[in-house]
Amino acid sequence: MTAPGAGLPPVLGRPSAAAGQPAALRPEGSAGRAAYRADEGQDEHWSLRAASVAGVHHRLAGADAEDAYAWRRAGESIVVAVGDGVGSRSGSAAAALVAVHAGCEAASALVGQDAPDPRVACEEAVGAANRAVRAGTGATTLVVAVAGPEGHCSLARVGDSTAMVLAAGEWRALFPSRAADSVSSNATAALPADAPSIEAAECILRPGEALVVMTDGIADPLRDGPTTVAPALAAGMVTPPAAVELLTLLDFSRHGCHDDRTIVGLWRRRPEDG
Amino acid sequence: MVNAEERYAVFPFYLCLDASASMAGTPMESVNRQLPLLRAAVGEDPAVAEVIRFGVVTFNDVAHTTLPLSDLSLVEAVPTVVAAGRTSYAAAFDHLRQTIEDDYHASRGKGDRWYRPAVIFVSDGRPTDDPERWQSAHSRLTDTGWKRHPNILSFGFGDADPAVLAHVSERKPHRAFIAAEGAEPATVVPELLAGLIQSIVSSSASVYSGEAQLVPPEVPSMTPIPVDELD
Repeated sequence: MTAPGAGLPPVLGRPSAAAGQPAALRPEGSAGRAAYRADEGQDEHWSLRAASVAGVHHRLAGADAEDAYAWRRAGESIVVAVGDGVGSRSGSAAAALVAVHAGCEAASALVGQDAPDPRVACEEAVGAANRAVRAGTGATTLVVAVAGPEGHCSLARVGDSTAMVLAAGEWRALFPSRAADSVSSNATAALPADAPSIEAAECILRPGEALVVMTDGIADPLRDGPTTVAPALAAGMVTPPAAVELLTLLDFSRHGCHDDRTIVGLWRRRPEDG
Repeated sequence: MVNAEERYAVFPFYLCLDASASMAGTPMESVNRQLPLLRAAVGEDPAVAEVIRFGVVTFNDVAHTTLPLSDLSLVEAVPTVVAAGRTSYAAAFDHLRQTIEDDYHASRGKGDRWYRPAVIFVSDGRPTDDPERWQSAHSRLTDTGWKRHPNILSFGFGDADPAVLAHVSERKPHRAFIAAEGAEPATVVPELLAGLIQSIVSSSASVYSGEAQLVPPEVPSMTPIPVDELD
């Protein structure tokens, strides 16, 4: 890792010439479509940090990012969702946004009921997102996570957006990735689908550990950079960083890594966190 | 995390070009004039330039690597191609299989992670080797048990046989294209090269859109070869 200057994104691995070029001025912009988005907050149980940056490819082309994130509190639980609009279809940025909102809304409604089963809530969230996305023209991946106050997390996903646990400075994948020796697949499952291919996962977070939900724009370099990206992100997220710090870290330069990047971290708070 | 090696994604493209005697004259002049334009097109999109790897294999009686798989930003000049000899599809497919396998291992050694390679097969004629020989070489290239088997787009003009091209592209829809009957190579080849350049750039850009894919080119004077449906 190259040490960043004050407030500058770091270089993680082989530097990218493209990442250093100025972004094109897009034809129109607004706060909701910003190339850089970040958020933070905490309650009794959780600290949440979210950051999303438009990929270098989109920035140089003067195009909007196609990732989205959302969260929704549900009593003592919290629902987090991340989506990655599939760029070859128009309307995919909108699809990602619709999916994460519909997923959070559906899951939080179920979790708030008397006998909540977070696994069912996650699957219902994907179903609700699938129906919502059908109204538009785009397509999106989706990961939904329901985290309970005792640290139990249930997740469901469609496509290659993913989630990991960050514990003691190490990343642990919650979903399988491609085989190590194979040539990368060129196909991504996405919503809408007649019968979405849903993968489920569960984990239990101990106090201080984080559930990190992310799009492939960050998951791929994290897997591909075990001595650069993975330790730098782990070090930067060992405790909840300020949202703007996470945003800067997420905007690292790395050769050939120019997809949109979105990450939502959910740290289970420790008693000493106050 | 089990993996401890740094990886960088690359999308390899191989142009597999018929360099038999019938390509001499206008078709090959056009190829030699336009191939260097790929470098310029890729250079316009620096994010895409970082992921594209491009190589050229030419074939007639035998097959050669004319341009080894390269990062185009490091290539000073694309070699010119000379047309001569017959049209051995078997030589082309055998050479491609060996080249892809060798390139993959060399590339992995340098820390690359490959998207499935793409072969762009261009021919103006029918195979001059016997069917059993070229089909057997083709089977080795497309063997799904071989992890590196490429996706193949094929393009034909002149005397090329649509049925043979459909076979080369494994009878997959929108993978095999043939020039309109009577179309002049002087018209078809420049269009084809321009379309291929756009296809390579668009395919590579799709790596950053969440759905990496092989984007077929738009070539107005060529039409997709229909593929039969099985019962």
